[in-house]
Parts: sequence; C-alpha cells; structure tokens
Amino acid sequence: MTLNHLILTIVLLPVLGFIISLRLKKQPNIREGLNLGIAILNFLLSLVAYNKFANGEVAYFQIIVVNSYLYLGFYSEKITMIFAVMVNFLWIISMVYTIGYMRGNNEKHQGRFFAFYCLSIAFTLGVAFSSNLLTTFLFYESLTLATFPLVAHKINAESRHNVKVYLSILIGTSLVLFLPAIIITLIYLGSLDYTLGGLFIRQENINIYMVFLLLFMFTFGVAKTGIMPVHKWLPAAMVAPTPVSALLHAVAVVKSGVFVFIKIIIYIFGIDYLSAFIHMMFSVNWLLVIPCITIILASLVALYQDNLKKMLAYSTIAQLSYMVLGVLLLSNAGIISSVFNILAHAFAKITLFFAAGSIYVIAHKDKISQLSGIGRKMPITMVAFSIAALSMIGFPLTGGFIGKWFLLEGIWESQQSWVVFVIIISTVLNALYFLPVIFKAFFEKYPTEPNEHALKKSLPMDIAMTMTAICVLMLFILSDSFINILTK
Amino acid sequence: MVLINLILPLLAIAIGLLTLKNKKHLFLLAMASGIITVIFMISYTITDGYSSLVFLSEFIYPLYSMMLLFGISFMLGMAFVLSQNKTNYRELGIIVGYFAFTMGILFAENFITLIIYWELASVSGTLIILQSNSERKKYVALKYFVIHSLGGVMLIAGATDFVRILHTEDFPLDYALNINNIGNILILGGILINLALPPFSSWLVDGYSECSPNASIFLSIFTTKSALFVLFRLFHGAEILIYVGIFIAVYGLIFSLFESSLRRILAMSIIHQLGIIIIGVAAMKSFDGFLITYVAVSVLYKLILFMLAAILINKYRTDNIYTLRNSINLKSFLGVALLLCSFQAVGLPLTGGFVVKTYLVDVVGSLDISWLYYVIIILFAGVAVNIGIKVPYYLINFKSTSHKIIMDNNFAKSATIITTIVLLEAIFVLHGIQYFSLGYILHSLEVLAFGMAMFILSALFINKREEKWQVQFNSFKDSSLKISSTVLQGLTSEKPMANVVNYYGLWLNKVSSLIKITTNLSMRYMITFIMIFTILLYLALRFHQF
Repeated sequence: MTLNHLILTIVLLPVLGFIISLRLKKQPNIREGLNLGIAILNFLLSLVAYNKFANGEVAYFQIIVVNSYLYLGFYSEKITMIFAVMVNFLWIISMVYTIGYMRGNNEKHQGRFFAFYCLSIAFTLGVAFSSNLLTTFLFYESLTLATFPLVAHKINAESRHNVKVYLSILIGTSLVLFLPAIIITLIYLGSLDYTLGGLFIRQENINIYMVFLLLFMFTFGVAKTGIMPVHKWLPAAMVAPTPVSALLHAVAVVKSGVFVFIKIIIYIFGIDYLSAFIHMMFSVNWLLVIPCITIILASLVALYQDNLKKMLAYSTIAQLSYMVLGVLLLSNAGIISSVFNILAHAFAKITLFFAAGSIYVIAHKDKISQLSGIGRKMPITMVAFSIAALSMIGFPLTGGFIGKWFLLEGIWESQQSWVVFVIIISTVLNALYFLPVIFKAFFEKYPTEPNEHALKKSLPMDIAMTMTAICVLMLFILSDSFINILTK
Repeated sequence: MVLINLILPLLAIAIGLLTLKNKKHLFLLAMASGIITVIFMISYTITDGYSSLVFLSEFIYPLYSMMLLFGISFMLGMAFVLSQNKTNYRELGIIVGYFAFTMGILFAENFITLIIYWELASVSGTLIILQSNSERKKYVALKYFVIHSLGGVMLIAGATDFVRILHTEDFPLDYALNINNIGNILILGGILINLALPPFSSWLVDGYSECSPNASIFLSIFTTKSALFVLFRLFHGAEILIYVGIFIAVYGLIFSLFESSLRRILAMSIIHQLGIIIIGVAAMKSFDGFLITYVAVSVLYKLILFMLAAILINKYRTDNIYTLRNSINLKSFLGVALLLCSFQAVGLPLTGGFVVKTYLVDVVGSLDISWLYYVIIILFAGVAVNIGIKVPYYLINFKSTSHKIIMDNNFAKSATIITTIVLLEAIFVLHGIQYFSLGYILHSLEVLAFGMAMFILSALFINKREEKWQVQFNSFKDSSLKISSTVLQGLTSEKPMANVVNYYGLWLNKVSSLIKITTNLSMRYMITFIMIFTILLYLALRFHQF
C-alpha cells in the first residue's frame, strides 16, 4: 500500500462508518462497536501513514479531473499528517465518550447522530489532505452541511433559531467572501495549488488593492476560524449535544478553519510576499489587530457567561485567534506555535467539553451558578476540568504553556512587542473566567435537595476525560519531541 | 541541581496528596525536611570547592544562606503550628508543598525551571488561602491567583525575549540584567508583582489576613522572600529600583496607618520593609548576599509577630487591635516577646534590627545620593511606627499589676519556639557588635523619635473612627506623663526635681483644660500642628547641618 492509497483510505473509512450507522439504526451495540473499530483502524492507518511520510515518502494524486485546474487533489504534508493523527486519536476517545453520553442521556435518533458524526470526520480529513483551494472549499462546505443535522439534533424552537444563525453565517461568508476570493485568485494567478513560497511571489505587477481585498476576503471568508465579527455561529452551535461541541466545535470544525487559514497564508500568499506587502505601508504588522481584538473581546464576553458551554465557546473563539495570530506573525516560531496550539487547545478544550457534558448528563446542570460543590460529587470530572482550564490559562506542566511560550517567542521574533501585552491581558482574563468555576466546584457546599437522587457514574465518560487530561499533561512532558518534529 | 529540582516537589506533592493524619509523622517530616535542607547546604559547599561550613554570620554564599533561612523558618513555623490544639492537616500538607516549590525558585538554574516553580508556588498559595474559614476566601484566592498569574505571564513574556536574544535559557547566579528593552522590563515587572508592587499589592494584604492564622506564618515568609532572591540575582545594582523601592515603602507606610486589623498591619509592614530592601538591592554592586542578613532579621521577627497574631486570634476570635486592646500582659512571656520585636523594629541598640539597619545605611551610603539618607531614616521610622509603637501600644496592658505568666501546655511549646527565634537573632547582634558606636545609637534614637511623631499623628487623625479621640489623647497623655515623670524621678532622687515634675504635670493638665474650655478648636489640631512643626524644624536642622 503506497501513501497515496493510505490517504484515500483514511479519508474514505469514516464514510463507511456513515453508511453502517445509517443501515444499523436498530442495533446500537453492533453499530457502535463497528464505529469504534473503524475509528481505531483509521487511527492505526494514520500512524502508518505518518511513519511512511517520516521516512521520506511523498503522496500526491488527483481524482475527478475536469480540466487543468478543476479537480480534487490530495497530498501529504507535515502539518497535515500530525493533524490527521490527532483527529483520529480524538475520534476514538470521543467515540467512547459519545457512547456513554448518548445512552446516559437517552437521546433519540442515535443512528442518524453517529452517521453524521462519522461523515463530519471524513470531511475534516478531506480538508486536511486537500492539495488545492478548490478541494479545500468543497470539503469545507460539505463539513458545514454534515454538521447541520448534528447541531439541529434536539428539534425545538431554540435549536431552529440557532441552526439558522449557524448556517447563515458559515454558508453566507463562504459564498459571499471565500468562493469569490478563490475565483479572483484563479483569474489573477492562474492556479489554485498550494505552492511552497506562495503564488503571489511568481507574479509581477500585482495591484496592491487587489491583494488587500483578497486578504480581507480570505480572513473573514474562512469564518470557521471564529474571527470577530463572524464568530456568532460558534456560540449558536452550542445547542448541539456535547459530544458534537467537544469533537467538532472544539477540534475538527474550528481547527479545519484554522488549517485552511494557515494554508492560505503560507501557500497562497507566501510569508515573504505578505511580510513585504504589510511593511510597505506601516512598520507595525496591522494584520495582527484583527485577532488581537478578537482575543480581548471574546475573553471579556466569556467573563459574563453563565452557561458553561457558552463560556467555553467564547473561550474557544479567543484561543482560535491565538492560532490565527501565530500565523499572521509571519515568522517561523509563530507558525510552530500555531500548530502546537492546535494540538494543545484540542486536547484541553475537548476535556473541558467532556466535563461540561458529563455534568449535564449526570447532575443535569448546565449553568456555572449551579455548580456549587460539584467537585466533591464528581471528582474525576472536575479534576480533569481543572487541568484543562490551567492549560487554557497557559500554566506550566500543561500543553498550553508550551504553546504560549512559542507564541511569545514568535512575537518577539517578528518585533511586534505590543502584542505581548495582549497576551498578558488575555491570560489574566482567562484566569478570571476559569478559576471561579473551579473554586465554586471544589470550595462550596453541594446544595442538598429533599428528593435528591444519587448521582450515577458513567465509566466511558470518565475514561475519556481521564485520557484527554493525561494527554494535556503529556503534551508538556513530550513537548521536545513535538517541537523537533515541527522544526525539522 | 536538576535532581533536587525534581525530587523536592515530587515528595511534596506526594505528601500533599496523602494529607497525613498523624501529628507525629508530620512533625518528623517537617524536622527531616529542615535537616535535609541543611545537609544539602553543606554538601553543596563541599562540592563547589568551599571547604568551610557556611555560618549564619557569614552570608557569603547567598543561595546557601537563603536556603538555611528558609529551612529554619519552615521548621520553626511547623513546630509552632503542631503545638497548637487545632491543626488542619490538609492545609499543612499543602504548606509542605508550598515550601518545596519556593525552594525550587531558589534553586532554579534556567528560566523554565524558575517559571514552573514560580507558578506552582502561586497555586499552592491559592490553595492555602482556600483552606481558611473566612467568608471572603474565594474572592481573595481568586485575587491572589490572578495577580500572580499576571506576574507569571509577564515573567514568561520577558523570558522568551531573553532566550531569543541569548540563545540560552540558563542564567548564572550573578547575572545583572540591563533595563533597556521591553523583555527585561517585563521580567522585572513579573518579579515586582510578587514583591507587592502597589497597584498589585492587594494579594499580599488580603491573602495574609484572610488565610487561617497558622497559614499566614508561612505565607508571610516564602513568596516574597523567594521573589526577593530572584531580584537579587537578576537586577542587583539597577538604579530604577531606588525609586521603585521608595514607592513601595511609602505606600506600605501610609496604608499601614489606616489599618486596624493586626494581620493587615503586619502585612502592610511587610510591604513597607520589602520597599526598603529593594532600595538596598539597587545599591548592591555585586551579588554578594549582603542584604540577605536584612531579610533574615525581618523574617525572624515577623515570624514571632505572626505567631503572636495566631495565638491571639485563636484565643479571642478577632484580629482587630482595638478589640484586642490590653490583651497581653506586659509582665507575661508574650508581652516580653512583643516588646523585643518592637525594639527590633525600632532598631534599638543590642537588637538585630540595629545591626541590619546600620548595614543598610552603609550600603545605601555607597550610592552617593545625598537625599537618600533622609528617605531611609523616614522609612525606618515607618517600621518603628507599625511594629515598634502601634502594635505594642494597643496590645500590651502596661497598667497590669499581676506577675503571673499564663502557662498552659500549648503555651509552653510556643514559648520555646519563640525563645529559639530570639536566640537566633542574638547571632546577628553578636555579629554586628562593631557597629555599636555613639553615632549609630543616636541614629536609632532619631528613628524612634520620628516613629513616635508619626504614630501620634496617625492615632489622632486616622483612627478616630475606631475610638473617640479624647480617650486616645487622655490615655496617651497619662501614659506619657507617667513615663516622663518616672524617668525623671529615676534620674534625680532629690526632692526639688520631683516637685518640678509634679508642677510640670499640673501645669500641663491646667493648660489642656483651659484650651478645651476656652477654644472651639479641637485639641487634636493643636497637637498636630505642634507635631508637624517639630518635624519640619527637625528636618531643617538636619539639612542645615550637612
């Protein structure tokens, strides 16, 4: 099996999961067992693929070729391979968690749920492996559509409204900004392939205003990065069951947005070209203003949230802008920090959502103000939550610390020292909205109600949370090897 | 080095998790950790090629002496806490971890190690505060952690710049940073936040007064002192620290006058003293650990004061000094200990305070900034106001006639510990015997006079909400008359002098009643006016002299 075949298999295997889940609506045990098997198989395959890639094998292939620029292209790349391994690994864990969650909560239409869950993973992997903007766009759009049934899973008035927001922002931005930007790129530069060094550097006499317009369209067109003001879809998506929020809206969907953005900046614009373009007007990198505003504003909004999942959503928006910021620094350390933050944030945020979901299923609570003393009743959940929250703050011994360290190094490297103060303020804000939750959970009394039922425990959920929390710590301990892989 | 960095905290975490329930085990553990500290210190002196043992009076190797200071004060504090009736074992477990993490700060060879222990110490401090029974504990703990995380991230931000420029994370023990780029300013800011730089100083005052009385003994030592050590290492000789130090000290002085809670007064006075030490750091030309002597003396007598506070709070369930008024008998053990502390703070001859203050005056004198000497004198007077005068004035019952010393079992144990500390202080006194010249003694009396003046001003103005001013004034007048008359009577046994004293007393009484009746002006304005006038006159005279 060559690397080409492997990549095609990795993208298509989740589709098999989709078909199986739809066919086996009435046999939950077989269905979920098969799904779990597919997830584990996919993870193993992605490990094999990574190994092959590390040994120097390169993949590139096209399918459904219409003409010289309209085709679906796939290729292998370092960041992509790491991303694929991570997504597949988290898929296994969240599969275990989802089984516990859906059964504990007695959700309806579980077959449909698992089917679209698998499909979303397939499209995420498609985004990751795509070799040109067109393929990326197709998978990106399909991902929005595949997550739509998941967001609308609880069919009620609230979910209808939120789905409207979700679809209108994501599809609206991509049709009004992203797609036209791709067409303009094609017309002006004659190619959509991701090229080392960027497409712009080859062209002479480019209209500056056109570059400016494209930059604007791409930045806000890829709304999955959660950049303000097109961030509203992410809090709206929190109406979905927690496993969706955990894997998709904290890992797969938003990270594929960041992924697309990284690829556009590095392989379409090109770092050298973009830094020359930016410093043509000012000495300050004015592009950084957009993520900086998002970081501060989203953290401020998160401070005033009482709904735990909404707070986590705004925290995600702020953290995603860390990654956007890392890329826009246009320096080597910045890109390393961006990729490392993708990993660190993925593990930490999935833990936080797992914890929120398990509190919802077991104690039937979803507001921060209700969490008094929950840490005594659900110690594993809240300890995992605390570890992940410390990672969000950038505390040592967690992955978030390493991400923050490299981000700061990137900031100094590109000599934009004012951004350091944004990071400092954001850290303080992070501490301000995460710690009250932890204090409330551990240092207040659990309210005793007259007809209180004992909290039953869910083993799959506990296992999933423990695994991801350990991974958060492992990211710090093994950070050397990760950084070595990234810098090589 | 790296090995200890790993072993100590791992040990501590294990203990913190186990939360030992056995008093004996915990006591043995505290003793063992202190002894291990000493053994490490000796082994390092040997491995580094210094064959001689580091003695307390010879603070040549700052790291070892700081370590020894930490170890000793931890042992004493632990012994004190375990001698009390009620012991919160979970809290003690966290305290062991907290101690280990601050030790890690001392040992850190590179920035990553430093930052890890820095943050872990802040987390364990937060957890210690959360163990208290106070209603405000969550708010205070949040404040403590958030301000420390601000300092921590500033340190990280500065460190990344440092690493980028020098391509190494390591820094040698004697490495002075220049304050000429943003990165180094951020490092300085991060350290200064742990040293209670004023807009961010509320974590210290709130944290030390809201945690349990036993825990405040430990909190008051380790965080600020380990940060001070890092400041020694990285920024000794930086001129900007003179101004920063004055700012911190003056802030601590002014706000300590407003406080009425015992532990808040002590905390404010810690801030005040940190400011003075920071001025000393600015005067250091090399990293010779000279000022660690100052740190040691202030740590030891703060230890006694916080132990006293713990005894009082455990007994009376309050730490308002007006409520605790006259609660300590002058002729009891506690009264004597408090008086010794107060002499220490004033810097009277034959105390450790006298020695270190003359040290500091010498060090600052090397800077050749003429006005700095007067600033230092006023700041020393501030120390005298808080601990030298205000605390004993309110707490000690001078009028009591009983000669009994209250001695229950616990009390005897804590008494032993406090005596040990006093004996330790004696080492400094012996070392500083060379400083006992007339000039220095006069200087210390000068400080006392200033302190008295400030105290009376503050008592008249600031504390009027707590007490009617007349009561204060009358009591002050009575006591001052008594003191002056007894002093004069003692000096002159002849009759005519005694008559003069009596006449003087009668005259003062007459005048005061006359003023009270005839004028609408309140007496305190008169007194204030006289005091300010005296201070100005004094300052004018001093400046005229030089």
